Amino acid sequence: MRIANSPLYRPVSAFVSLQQAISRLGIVTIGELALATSLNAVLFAAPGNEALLKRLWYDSLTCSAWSREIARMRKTNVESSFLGGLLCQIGKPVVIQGISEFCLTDEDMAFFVDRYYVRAGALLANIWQLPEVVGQVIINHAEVGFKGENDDVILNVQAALGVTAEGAEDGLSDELQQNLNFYEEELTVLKEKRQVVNSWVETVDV
Amino acid sequence: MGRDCGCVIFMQDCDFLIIGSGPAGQKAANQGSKAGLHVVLIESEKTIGGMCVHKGTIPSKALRESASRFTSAHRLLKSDAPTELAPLMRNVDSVVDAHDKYICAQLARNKVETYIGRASFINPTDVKVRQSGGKTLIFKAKNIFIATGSKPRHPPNIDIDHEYILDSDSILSMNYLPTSMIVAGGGVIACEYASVF
Repeated sequence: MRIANSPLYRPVSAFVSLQQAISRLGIVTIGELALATSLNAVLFAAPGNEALLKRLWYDSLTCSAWSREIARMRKTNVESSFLGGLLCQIGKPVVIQGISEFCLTDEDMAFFVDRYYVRAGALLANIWQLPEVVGQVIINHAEVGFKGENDDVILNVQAALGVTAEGAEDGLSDELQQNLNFYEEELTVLKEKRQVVNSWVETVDV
Repeated sequence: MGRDCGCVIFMQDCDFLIIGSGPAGQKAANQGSKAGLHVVLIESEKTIGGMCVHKGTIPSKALRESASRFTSAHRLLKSDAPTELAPLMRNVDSVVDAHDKYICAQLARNKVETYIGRASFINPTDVKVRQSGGKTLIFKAKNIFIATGSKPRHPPNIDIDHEYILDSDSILSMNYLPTSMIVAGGGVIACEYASVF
């Protein structure tokens, strides 16, 4: 309710009930907010790695927001792209939690996370019965140029991951730009969305 | 192919340059080539065929046919199971893919040179084509045909977010059937989608 009442969603008058928020913002928006806020770093317990989990959580939020904006620009499915961006690297905290009790160096930790996070994420998607498209994003998000079912959503998430890591100026490789069919005009529009993305992330990051 | 000058590549002259690969552009390209002209076709989207094949006529008709067949089957079987949108859209994708392959094969058979990029005029005979990734091509053409088609109009007072408020392009990105829908407008496309959903 605090997020629904934030300036980002510009309520004319403050929402006083969940029903009112749902009727004005829509069940999908409320569902997205509930999912985004409930999946935060606290969900996973990995003593000694709280800072890392917090950073991963922040990056996931940022990626989901960029993915949603890129989907809007490309007129592809916005909701699936948001979910894909939020959950594409959900396997990372799973692996970190699994290996946190071992005294590993940062390098070893990074090695295990990189090696197993896709498999862990796919397993989690199956157990949580996440939508099929989210499972496909988890499995294929690292394969640039992927062709197959839901490749549009996967491309949005790949672009969002790039922008999250490197920024709107440098985050899209030539190959990604070509796959997105983004020209200078689209890159300018993308850069202008930074404010929207940052506002949303700051609001949801509780 | 001419000389490479940094990221600008000067291309050879052509007899007939067409901007836009929709139905009009394709027909012009094929006829021009059959008349013995050196034809170059420019398309700004990633795929040949224009909005007609990818967002307009073909997908909307395919969706209407699929929806009609599903409805008939439901009536015949007296089924009250909810209709899912995903199988309908998969059918649309296969129709669009088949049409796309057919167009590309036809253009290749007629030896039409196709380039993906955004065209703009330098002067009445020279056209600059910017490609995604930064490369620029320049063509000199004796005849130029503009067939750039149209795109959905967005009224300035309506925030079309392509999530809750969609246009006739983004409506094809939906992956489940909405329980209710308001169609704004009474033109051909609006009536078609109103009847489909």
